Amino acid sequence: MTLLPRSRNDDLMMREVGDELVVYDLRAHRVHLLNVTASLVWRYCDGKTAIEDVAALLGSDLDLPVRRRAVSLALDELAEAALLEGPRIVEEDEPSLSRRDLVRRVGTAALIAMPLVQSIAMPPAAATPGSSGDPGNPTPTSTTRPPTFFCTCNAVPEPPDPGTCGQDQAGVDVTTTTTADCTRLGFSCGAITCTSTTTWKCEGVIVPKLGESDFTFYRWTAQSTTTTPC
Amino acid sequence: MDGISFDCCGVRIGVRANNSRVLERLRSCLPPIWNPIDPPIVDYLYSFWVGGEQPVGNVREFNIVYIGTQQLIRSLDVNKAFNCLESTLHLNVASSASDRVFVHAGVVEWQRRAILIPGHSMSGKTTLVAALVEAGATYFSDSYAVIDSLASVHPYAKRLSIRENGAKSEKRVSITDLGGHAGTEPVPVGLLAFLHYEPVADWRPRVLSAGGTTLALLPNTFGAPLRPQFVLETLGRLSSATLAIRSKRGDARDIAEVLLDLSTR
Repeated sequence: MTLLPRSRNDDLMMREVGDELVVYDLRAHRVHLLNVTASLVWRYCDGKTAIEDVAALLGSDLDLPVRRRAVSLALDELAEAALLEGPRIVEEDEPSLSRRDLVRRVGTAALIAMPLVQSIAMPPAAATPGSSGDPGNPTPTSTTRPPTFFCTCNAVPEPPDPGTCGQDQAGVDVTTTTTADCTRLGFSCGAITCTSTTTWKCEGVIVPKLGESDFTFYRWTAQSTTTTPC
Repeated sequence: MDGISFDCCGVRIGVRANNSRVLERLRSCLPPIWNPIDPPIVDYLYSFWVGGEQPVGNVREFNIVYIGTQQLIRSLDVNKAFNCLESTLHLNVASSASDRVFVHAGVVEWQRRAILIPGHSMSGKTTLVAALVEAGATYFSDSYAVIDSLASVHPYAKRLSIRENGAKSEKRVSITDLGGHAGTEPVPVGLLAFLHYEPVADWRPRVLSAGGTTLALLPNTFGAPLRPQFVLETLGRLSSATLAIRSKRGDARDIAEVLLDLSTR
């Protein structure tokens, strides 16, 4: 009996669009589009469910016959997209077929049940030219991996009022806290909320002399962010 | 030394120069979405040192543009330095806007619906936008689709960048110079057209799924890695509510009427 691997949760942002799922991998700078079958298989990847059972569950979800081979193909594509934890372990009796072989066997009528993961590369976040750091809206850094399946924290760090950063406040540290709901594939995780705490420093930026005195402007820059798990 | 400050989509920009004519020229070519504000706190500060128009003896002074402490361009041609400043201002706002998503796209409005033509530089967006304006559409932008959280698109009527001499040089023209006019109010999107120009192309539009549309928009979206949640939410909302097609296209004038028709279906 082959068990499904666990799905990966960390450093991922997700949004359902229609019946497809868009997954932004912040670590690998890639975006993946999972069709309905692939996204359902990914949802069932909990490390405890057998592939045979998933095929039956999918068939019920899609109201179509789904073969174990289709689940295997979905797992191959999810592993290639680095959306599963650990290496893809293939049991000796697990069938391995390409997409073309599978279509040939099940027929084009069952194409709707075929899993599909499309992927593109995204540019990594780059510092704006000439800035001393992030303009004040950094990507949250989670220090604790969310334990709940698919629940992600929507808290986004908010900088302090820009008017409070000036020459008199240079070097001062300020902490802001944002609380938001956790969401699971577009649905609520229940009464679960999460908190993002960010430490900001008021820093001065000196610009070059242009015939008159140097000019200094001040801005809040994020030093560190911690996010409570969902 | 003189300076001006603007707020555009939550990004505060300051520009100072040793020549006030540069600032006046800049003020006249920025889109109306750039709102003048009072200094002194800005997120980004640009500095423009205008060199001498005539050499003094054997010495000519360069025109130099900085952002913060970083030099952007150093040129004897003041127009080249100015164009660099203008381009970088737009790019900076596009990447840093906090309440809008900027997509690299040409945009026009037709019968209260926007047509977005996403694409990278030199993909033919400006040529197609000019053809659509010539066919009667209202100009929104040749480079930036500014999308709010409700998936409406706002005008960003910067000067058009018309390429000349086989794309070796670039001319900046306003839409009124082309006989068109610019939009002033946001509108919902009626059509997303992912088009690839080829001299001899078969027009065979393929409708994209909502998820496929989001995937196609993301590589053309500024600042996505910095605000992935907001970008995904906005693009997902836009993709779910809009017809999106992908096709090769030939001459812009031949395809303009087809796009106008599709946008109102």
